Amino acid sequence: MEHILQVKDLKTTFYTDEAVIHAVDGVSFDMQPGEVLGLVGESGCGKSVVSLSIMRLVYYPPGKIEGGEVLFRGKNLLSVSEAQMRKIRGNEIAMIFQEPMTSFNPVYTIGNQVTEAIKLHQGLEGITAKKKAIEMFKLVGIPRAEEILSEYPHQLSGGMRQRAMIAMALSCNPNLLIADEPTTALDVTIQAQILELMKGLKRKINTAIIFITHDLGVIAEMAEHVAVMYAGKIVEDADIGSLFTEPLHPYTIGLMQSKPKLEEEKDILAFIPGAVPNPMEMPVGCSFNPRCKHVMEICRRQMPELIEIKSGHKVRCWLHSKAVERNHEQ
Amino acid sequence: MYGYIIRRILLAIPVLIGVSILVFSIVRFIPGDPARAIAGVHASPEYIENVRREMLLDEPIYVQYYVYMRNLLQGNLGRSTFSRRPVATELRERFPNTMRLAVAAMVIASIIGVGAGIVSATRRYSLFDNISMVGALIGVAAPVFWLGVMFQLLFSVRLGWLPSGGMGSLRFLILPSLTLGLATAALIARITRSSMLEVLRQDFITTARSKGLSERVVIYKHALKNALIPVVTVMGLQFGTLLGGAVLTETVFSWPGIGRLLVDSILARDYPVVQGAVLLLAVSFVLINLVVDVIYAFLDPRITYGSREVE
Repeated sequence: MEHILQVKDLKTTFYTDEAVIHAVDGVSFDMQPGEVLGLVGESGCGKSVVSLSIMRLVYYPPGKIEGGEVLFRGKNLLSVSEAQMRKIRGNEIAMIFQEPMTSFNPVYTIGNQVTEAIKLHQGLEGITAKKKAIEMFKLVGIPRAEEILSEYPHQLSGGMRQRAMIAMALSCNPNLLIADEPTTALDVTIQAQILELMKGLKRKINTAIIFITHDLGVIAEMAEHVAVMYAGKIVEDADIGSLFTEPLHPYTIGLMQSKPKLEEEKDILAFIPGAVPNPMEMPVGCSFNPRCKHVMEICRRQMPELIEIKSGHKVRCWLHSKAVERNHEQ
Repeated sequence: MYGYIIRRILLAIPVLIGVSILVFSIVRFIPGDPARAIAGVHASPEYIENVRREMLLDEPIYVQYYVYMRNLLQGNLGRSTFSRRPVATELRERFPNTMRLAVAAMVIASIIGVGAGIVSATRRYSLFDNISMVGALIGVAAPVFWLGVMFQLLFSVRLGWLPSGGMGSLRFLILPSLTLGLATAALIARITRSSMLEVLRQDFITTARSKGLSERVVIYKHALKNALIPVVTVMGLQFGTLLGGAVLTETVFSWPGIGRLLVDSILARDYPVVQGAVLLLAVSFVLINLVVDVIYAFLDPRITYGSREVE
């Protein structure tokens, strides 16, 4: 099947007064049409910058997309004109953001903002654009759709705002939806409702989704394929079953162990020692080496490659690279 | 919305009463004997006694205030001790001139200030940004009387394009309003720039861009309305300052406005006129702030509902 999105060796760098930060450092992944890819990692690992780079919404100064390709239906988005890019944004690729409060403009009505993309990309006017918006609101389960159109963002609850945001993103039937932590700012019951809604919508409209989150529970719920990011790089890439039954990278294993389980009673949660490295003082070699309990001599010298260990399961770790080499030698 | 506006108007009433008390006190705070001060140094004792009775200075203070307020509400501000004309008439003649100058200056300041601020913010650190920000610094720092004289030298004396003073056709308005407006333009430019930069960092700007909107729509629709909220505050305050602070400009350009009337009356110890002019300026200031509050409600929907809903 043809890929809907292929990201190849994407590099995005931020130039600040203090340092040069490689926020995204050679990220590659593929997506099939209708697939849900989970992009997981701690805050600051570069997962949001990946999404902004795909949309080409990284602005200089301080950010700059410095290399790689973003092939969307075979077309490299990094080399199309800004005018062409604007026709893709909000139309073929849409985005949902983390903070439903700050992601809407406080001084315009919800209706004004939701119909904006409909008017722009579908050429609908006035009443027809409004009808389309109401139709989308019903699809995402917003009650009193018509009234809410004339209300301001501050008059809606967080869950309703996020529903409106989803309706806005889906209004032009995008082929790819990028959801950047769409449930993080919501409380758990609303979070469950929004996830349920997105799963239902995915079945109905078959949009490919990049689901960005730091929450493995949400990933298990939503994604078919997972890429784990650490310090600007993908460290493990696998389908959901394989990742949860047999995580390979010590970082992924650590993430999984640090999640509390209902059936076990523990006084102290497992955790990964240390903190995400300061982007200005990246360790030499594997960027996870200072926190890794399996650290070897080579880890402090050289960054391992992302290697396919078995069909569809890739990992960036010397533990497994060595194993592969040994197999070859035998 | 209307409830909000009515609330603002009701809140203005105590402020206006406070203003009237302050202005009323001015004459009572004159050092020495107010009657003597008003009557003049060479006045006869009988005349001073007359003035004292006329001004009710021998009555208790609350009676004086009561009479003062009663007259005030009837539009009677007393008579000028100098020209013997009613103060209200003097003010009515002069105030429109000052208003004209202040409005013209404000229009110039808003157009230049907001325009330069937006361009500076969207092309940060560009040549335009640097030039306009240095210009703004000079604009804020340059004294009005110096600026006025420089304009007269250049445009009236050297080039002979515009009249150097007096009031008449629109041509007479250009130099004084530019002189008066430039400092405000500079201030507005700086505030628009920083407010715009702040707004452009907000999440909803990324949302707007992610919808495929052009930069023009992102800036002029999504960013500008938000960025204008603090700018409008400054405009309101500045407009009050322009009304009261046109004294220097009016003097440099011989513009017959209320600022010059005020200075002339202070020098001539014409207290009823001083009282009237100060009262008028203070009331204008209160009213302008009322208008600003109403404009706020149009710019930011959260304000109207703020008192009823807790976010």
